[in-house]
Amino acid sequence: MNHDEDFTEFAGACAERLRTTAFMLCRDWHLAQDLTQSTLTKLYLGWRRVRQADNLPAYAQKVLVRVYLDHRRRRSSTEAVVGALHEQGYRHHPDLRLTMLDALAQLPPRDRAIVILRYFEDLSVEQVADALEVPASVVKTQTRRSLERLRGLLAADQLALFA
Amino acid sequence: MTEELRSLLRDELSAERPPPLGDLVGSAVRDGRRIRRRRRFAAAGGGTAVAGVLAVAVALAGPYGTAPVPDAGVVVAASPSQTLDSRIPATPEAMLVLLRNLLPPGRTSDAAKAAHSDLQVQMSLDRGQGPAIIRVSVAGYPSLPRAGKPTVTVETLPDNCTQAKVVRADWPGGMTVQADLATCRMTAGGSTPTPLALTDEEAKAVVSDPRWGDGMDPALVRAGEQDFPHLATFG
Repeated sequence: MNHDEDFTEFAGACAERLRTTAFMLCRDWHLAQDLTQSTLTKLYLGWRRVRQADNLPAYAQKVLVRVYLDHRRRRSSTEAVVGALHEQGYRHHPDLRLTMLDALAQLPPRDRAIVILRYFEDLSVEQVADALEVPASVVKTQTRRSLERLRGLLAADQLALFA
Repeated sequence: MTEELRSLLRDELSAERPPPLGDLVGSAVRDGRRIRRRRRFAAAGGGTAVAGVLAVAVALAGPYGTAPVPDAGVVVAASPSQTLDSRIPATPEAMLVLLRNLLPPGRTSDAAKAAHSDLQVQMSLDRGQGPAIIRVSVAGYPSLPRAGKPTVTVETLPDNCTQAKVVRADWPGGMTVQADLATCRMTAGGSTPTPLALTDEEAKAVVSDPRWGDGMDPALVRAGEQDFPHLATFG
């Protein structure tokens, strides 16, 4: 199997999942599509080295998260700050019940990435630390804080998940 | 807890209506090949410039190597800024003015710039059948001089309504101008079908215009400031 066939087979198998992760990170399907394509392009360019990775899907997730955080960094200089969410209002009005994805979107980008990689992609603390280039202790601390924040945002019936 | 959290996220994701994946892998491979080609081109260009400097130095030095070696700047090929010195840095607003000027008659709306790129814009064109989105991006090496004519390709992606047609002009200098023509509009409730904004020939004319680049005519930049003072962003 040649370089391109090898890459295409891998990319075809993981593209959908990468895009789903990208969507959870950014909550925008079009941007998720762009982020996934950028990720796949980066993987293609380094494929000879990339294919040697022990855990290719985890490596692809790592590249995706970095592409997303780079995008956020570039965007932050031009982005206006939106008003803070009235958290208590969401908890006391059933009609305004937040979904888990909404709640995740309230977390800062890096913390959101940590929760998604840990709890949706099932990466270990060490793998998340490697992906985000932060110490494992930071991943643990931020995971705890993020879960506390999610608890504060979600409705009572969803809180059972955190019991 | 992990499994419950994952299950809740899965349930919420299953209620989403994502657009078709389209030719994401194919696009990534094409982009990768293009970037790789340009890297080789850039490396070869650098090598040629060095070889040129050495050749001139040897010629000037003569057989005994006594003549002074000239400054590299004397013999290196003219920089792109020298050949495009009338241009000033492009802005998304100027790109929108140029796009609007290149479009056939119709009502334009939805002007916006990409959040993650200074050289990607979108506009809707309504030719009587409803607004249809066009996105134009400039990529590659837009600063290099545009000698010759671009190679223009039209690609149809039947399962990707946001890029139903991708029309691309690849210039010999390494710049690519791409127009994505949509056949849907994404809304909170899903996607609504739209007609294509342009015919193939019209789209080819748009992407082939030599005024695209990371430098643009000052008049276009000024017009952009006036016509699009508060531009929305997408992406």
